[in-house]
Amino acid sequence: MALAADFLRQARELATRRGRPSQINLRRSTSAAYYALFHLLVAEVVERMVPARPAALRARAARSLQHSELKEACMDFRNPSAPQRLQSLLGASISSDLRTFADTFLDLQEQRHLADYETTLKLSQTAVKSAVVKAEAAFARWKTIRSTDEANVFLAALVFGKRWNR
Amino acid sequence: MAAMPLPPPALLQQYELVADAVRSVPVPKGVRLRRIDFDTDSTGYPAIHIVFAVSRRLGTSAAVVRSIGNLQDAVRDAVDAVIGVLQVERIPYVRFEDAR
Repeated sequence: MALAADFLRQARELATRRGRPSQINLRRSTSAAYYALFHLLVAEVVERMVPARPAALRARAARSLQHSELKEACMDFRNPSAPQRLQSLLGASISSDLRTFADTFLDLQEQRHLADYETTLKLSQTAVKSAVVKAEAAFARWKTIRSTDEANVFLAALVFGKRWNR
Repeated sequence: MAAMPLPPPALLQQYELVADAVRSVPVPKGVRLRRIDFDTDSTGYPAIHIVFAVSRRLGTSAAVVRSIGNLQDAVRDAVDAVIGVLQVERIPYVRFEDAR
């Protein structure tokens, strides 16, 4: 998870530089905050679900995870009630920690898209720092829930969720 | 506040309820509601974008940053409650732009 931690560190550095950070640094900070969460999840999925040998297998598997699929899974985990098709695995409800984590992922993914592609956008340093704080809180939150059954279901849903209607 | 373009009539009730919910949330000094857009998000999923303008004069102290995060959470919760009642599928996104 070193890459995820590096992205998170970069996000903070770019948002908190002395003086007024440039718009391009605020954009890169927003993007890095999202990629920190993205690579956190990718690393967790790969470490838990893909064998360590042959040596290149995990890196290959990591490349196959798509932003849109992670988003769709997070949409299933952002509401208090678990979706019907997941209730046999999760029970009726989803913990507030996991819901908040999923919400933060969705929010940062959208912010990342705007920061990278919406050329007229004027970012607020206050808001970008808030986004970084949310990403840091999501990291901390993940540490507390990563060993739970619902976290296992969440990680599996990132990979298999689209096919669980069958 | 900049003029908010009205959505199609079929969405008017949803829009009004969401706008009422957003306006019911107290906003810190130096922050104002800029617009509410019923649109799609970056992947084409139905979304509600609630955009606030943030004054640079607010600064970036930990307390101010925390207040922005709290506002984001409170507005998202308020809009989620309306979405739940209406039983519509839209993701609420609360974001902040520089006020200038």
